[in-house]
Amino acid sequence: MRGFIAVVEREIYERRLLGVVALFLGLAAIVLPLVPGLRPGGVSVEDLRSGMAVGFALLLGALLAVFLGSSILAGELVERRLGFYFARPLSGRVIWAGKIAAALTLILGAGALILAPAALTGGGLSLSGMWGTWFWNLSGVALIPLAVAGLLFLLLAAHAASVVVRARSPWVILDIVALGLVVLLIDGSFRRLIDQGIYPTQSVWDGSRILSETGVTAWLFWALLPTVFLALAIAGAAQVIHGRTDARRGHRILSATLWGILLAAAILSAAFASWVLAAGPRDLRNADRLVAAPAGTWIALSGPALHRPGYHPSFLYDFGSGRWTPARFGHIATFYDDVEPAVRFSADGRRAVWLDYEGLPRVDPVIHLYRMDLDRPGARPVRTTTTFDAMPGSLALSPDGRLLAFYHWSYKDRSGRVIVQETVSERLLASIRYESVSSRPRLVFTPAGRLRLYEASMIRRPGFPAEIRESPDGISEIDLSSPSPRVEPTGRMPSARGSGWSLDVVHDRALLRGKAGLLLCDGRTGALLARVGEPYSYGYFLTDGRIAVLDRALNGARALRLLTEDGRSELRRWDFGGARGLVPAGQPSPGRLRVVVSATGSPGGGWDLRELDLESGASRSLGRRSLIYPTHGRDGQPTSSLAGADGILWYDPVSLQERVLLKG
Amino acid sequence: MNPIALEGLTVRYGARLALDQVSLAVPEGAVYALLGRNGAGKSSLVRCLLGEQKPTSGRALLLGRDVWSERAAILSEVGVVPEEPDAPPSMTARRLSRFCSRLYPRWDAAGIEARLKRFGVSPDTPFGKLSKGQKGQVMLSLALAGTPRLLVLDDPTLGLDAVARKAVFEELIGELADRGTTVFLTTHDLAGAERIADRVAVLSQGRVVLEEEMETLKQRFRRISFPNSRKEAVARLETLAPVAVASRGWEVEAVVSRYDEERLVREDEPEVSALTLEEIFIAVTGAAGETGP
Repeated sequence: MRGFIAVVEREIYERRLLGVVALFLGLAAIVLPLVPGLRPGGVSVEDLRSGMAVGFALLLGALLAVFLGSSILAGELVERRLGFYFARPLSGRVIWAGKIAAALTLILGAGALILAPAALTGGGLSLSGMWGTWFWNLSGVALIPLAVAGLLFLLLAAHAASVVVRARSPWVILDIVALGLVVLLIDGSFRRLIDQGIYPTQSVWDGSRILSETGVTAWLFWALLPTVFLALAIAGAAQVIHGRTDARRGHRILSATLWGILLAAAILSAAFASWVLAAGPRDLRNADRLVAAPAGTWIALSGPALHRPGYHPSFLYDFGSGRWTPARFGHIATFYDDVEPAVRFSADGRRAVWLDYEGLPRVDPVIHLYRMDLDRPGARPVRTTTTFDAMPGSLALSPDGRLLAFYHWSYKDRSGRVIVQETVSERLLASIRYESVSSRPRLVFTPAGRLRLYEASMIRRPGFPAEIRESPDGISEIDLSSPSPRVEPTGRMPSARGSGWSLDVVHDRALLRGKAGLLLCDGRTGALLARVGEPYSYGYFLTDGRIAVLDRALNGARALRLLTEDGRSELRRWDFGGARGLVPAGQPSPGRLRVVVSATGSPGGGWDLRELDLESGASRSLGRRSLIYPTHGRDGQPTSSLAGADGILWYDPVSLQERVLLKG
Repeated sequence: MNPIALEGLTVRYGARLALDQVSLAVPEGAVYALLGRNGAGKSSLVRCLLGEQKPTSGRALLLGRDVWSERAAILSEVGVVPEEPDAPPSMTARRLSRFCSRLYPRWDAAGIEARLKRFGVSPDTPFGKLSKGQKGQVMLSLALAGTPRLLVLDDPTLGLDAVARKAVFEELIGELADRGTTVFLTTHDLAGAERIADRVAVLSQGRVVLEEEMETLKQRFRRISFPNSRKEAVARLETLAPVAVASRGWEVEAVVSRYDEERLVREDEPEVSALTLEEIFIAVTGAAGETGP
C-alpha cells in the first residue's frame, strides 16, 4: 500500500500545475457569464455558470483522459523511463494501479476544481441550463457516475491505443485485423437484432433511452460495455505486469489479452444474436397477432418470444405439417402499432403475400413485397421485384391469389396510386392516380372481377382538429376488365359514429359499429339494410351468412342474438346473466358457434368456453380457457386466440378440431 | 548463497540470439565486472537480472530468489544504477529521496544528502536540469541510500568525464570499504573496473567467453615478443594458448592466455610484459569469434 500511495502521490505532484489550469477554468465559468453579450437570452447567470462549468469540466476531463492515458504509462514505456519504477521494489500491479489511480484522481480533481466555484455561487450541476432540454438533462448526481465511467473508459482506451501505436511492433497488423473482426462481429450482432425490430433505430441514437431498455439488444449492450471496460483494464495491467519495461513484449501481451477477451465477447455476441433469432413459432410465449388462411392449415402469427425480451418474431406456420418460415410482417405491424399482421392470404389458402423492410425502417426505407405459395412442398418466401419507398397504405390479394392490389403514396413522386398487378409475373394491370384522404383505403377484390375501395373521409368540426373517420363512408370500384380502368364511386355508407366495421366473406354486406348502433349495410352501395344492434354492440358474419350479435345490456350483462342474413329477424337468443366478458371463439361447424364467457371480462384465465347449437339453442360448457387476446376477429369472423392448459389453441378449419398450436 | 546466480540464461529476439545459455555466479562481497562490446548482450543480461525482462529460457536468481517472479520483494535489498539515468525530470534529488524512502526498509536519508554534498549536486535542482554526470551521481546516491546487500551498476560511468568517473568509483570504493556490499558492474570503463573489480567476466556474442578472478586473469595473460628468426619459439607459443599473434617485420608479438615462464627458453630472447584489463579485453573479444581463451 505504501508503494501504491507513493506512486499516486508522485504522479500527482509531477502534474500539480493542472490544478492551476482547472481553477482558472472554474473562475472563467464564474466570470464569463457576466460579460455583456455572452449570455443568450432567457438563460440566467447561474444556469450559464453551471452549464459552462460542467462543459469545461467534461472537456478538460476528456482531454486529460486522452493525454494522461497515452502518456502516463505508454509514454514512459517508449521513452525508457518506466525502468525507474521497475528498478524499485514496486510490483507491476502497484505501478499500473498507482498510475491509473493518479490519472483518474487528476482528472476528477481538475473537474472538482472547475465545478466548485460555480457550485459555491449557487449554480446547480446541470447542462440543461446552457444547452436546453434537447441535450441530456442530467443533474450533477446522475452526471458524476456517467462522467467517471466515460473518462475512465477514455483513459484506458487511450493507454491501449498509445501502446499499440508507439511500440512500433509488427503486432499492430494483428491489432488492425482483430479490431476489424471485433467491430464486424459486434456491429453485425446488433444490426441483426435491430433489423428484426428488437431495438428500434431511433433508440440507437438516443443515448439516454438505452439506459431504460430491457430487451435482448440492451442485454447485449450492457454485457458488452463492462466486458470492453474489463478487457481494456486487464490488458493494460497485463502489459505492465508481464511486459514490464519491454515495449514490444508489452504490446504483444496487451494485444493478446485485449483481443482474446474482445474476440471471445464478439463471438459470444454473434452466437447470442443467432440464438435469439433462431426462435421458431414454438418458442413464442403467446401469439398476440394471429390470422388463419381462409382455407387450409396455414396461419400467420406473431408474438413475444420466450426468454428473449423485446423480440417479437412473426411466422407463417402450417400447423398441419409443422412447417414454418419467418416472415417479418409482425415487425411492420409492431412498427405501425397495428393489431393485424400485414399479411394477406388468398381465399383458397394457397398463397400469402406480405411486406417487409430491407434493413432498418425509417432510414431511406426500401420495402419489399414477398410471396409464398403455401401448397408447394418445400416452398420458401420469394422476394419479388416490387418495392416501395414508403409503406403502402393497403394491400389486397384476390380470392384465387392471382392478382394483387395496393395503394401506395410515393414520397418520391408526391402522389398516390392504386396499383393492380399479377402476383407471380408482376405484370402491371392498372396504375390509377388516386389521392386517398385517409392514406389507407381498404381494397377488396369482388367476385365480379372488380376492385372495390372503401375510403374514410375527414371529420371537420369547428374548434377541433380534422380527424379521419373510424369507419369508411365512401365506396368506389375499379373495373379491371376495362381497357382504361378508373375509380368510379358506387355509393356512401351511413355514419355509425363509431369505432369499427367489417365485411362479410364475399364483401356483399358490411357491419358498422358505433354510437348510432350496429348497422348492416350493402357492401357495394353502402345502403342501410338494417339496424341490427344497440350502440357499440359487436356483430359477426357466420359461415352460412347469418349474423351473430353480442349485446350489452345497461346493467352490463351480456347476450348473444342470432339474426337472419338480412338482419331483420331474430332467430334465437342466449343470455349470459352475470358475464362481463363475452367473446366469440370460432365455428367448429356451420351449425355451431363457440364463445368464451368471463365473469370479469379481463384477459387471462377464468374464461368458460361454451358451444352453442345454433339450431336447437342448446349451450354446453367445454371447460376453462384463457383468453390471450380479446380480439373480436378480423372481417367479423367469430374467432379468438385461446390458451388452455396445453398452450395456445386454434381451430383447425379442416378437421374442425381444437388444436394445440404452441405448447407452453 | 551467491547474491547473483544465472542459470542457462537465454534471450532470443526473433531469430537473433542475444544471450546463449549464460551461467555465472557472483560470490558474496565480490565486485564483479561484466565486460563486453556493444551488442554483446550486456543490456539484455542486466534487464533479466533486474526482473525487467523474462528470459526465453533459464533463470536469474538474485539473493537466492527467482527475480522474474519475486522482483519487488528482492529489489528492496538491491540498489540499481541504470545505464541511462531515468528518474522523472521534474523531481529534485530531495523529492526522489523522499519517494524512495517509502519503498525501502532501511533508507539512509542523511547519507544521500552527504553524498550529494560530496558530489557537489544540489538536492533541490530538478533531475532534468542536472548534467549527465550529476544525474549519474544522483542515481548512485539513490542506489546506495537503500543500504543494499547488492548493487547492480549498468555502465554507471557511460558518457561521464574523467572527473565524474573518478568521483563515482571513489564513492563505490568507499561504500565497499564501509559495508562490503556485493557489486555487479557492467562497464566500458575498463581502467575503472580494473581498479575495483575482483572478478571479471567477458561477454561476447551472447556467450561468456571468460570468467575468473581479476588477479588470476592478469597473471595468466601476457604479451610476449621475440625475433621473427626464432622459428622454434613461434612453435612453442602454441602451448601458451595465444589469443592474438602479430608479425611485425623482424619481431613476433603475441598475447597468450596461459602464460607459463617454464615453457619459454632463454635462447628465444623473449620480452614479456603484463597486460592491462583493457588490453586483455581487446585481445579476448577480438579472438572470441573463433574460440574461447
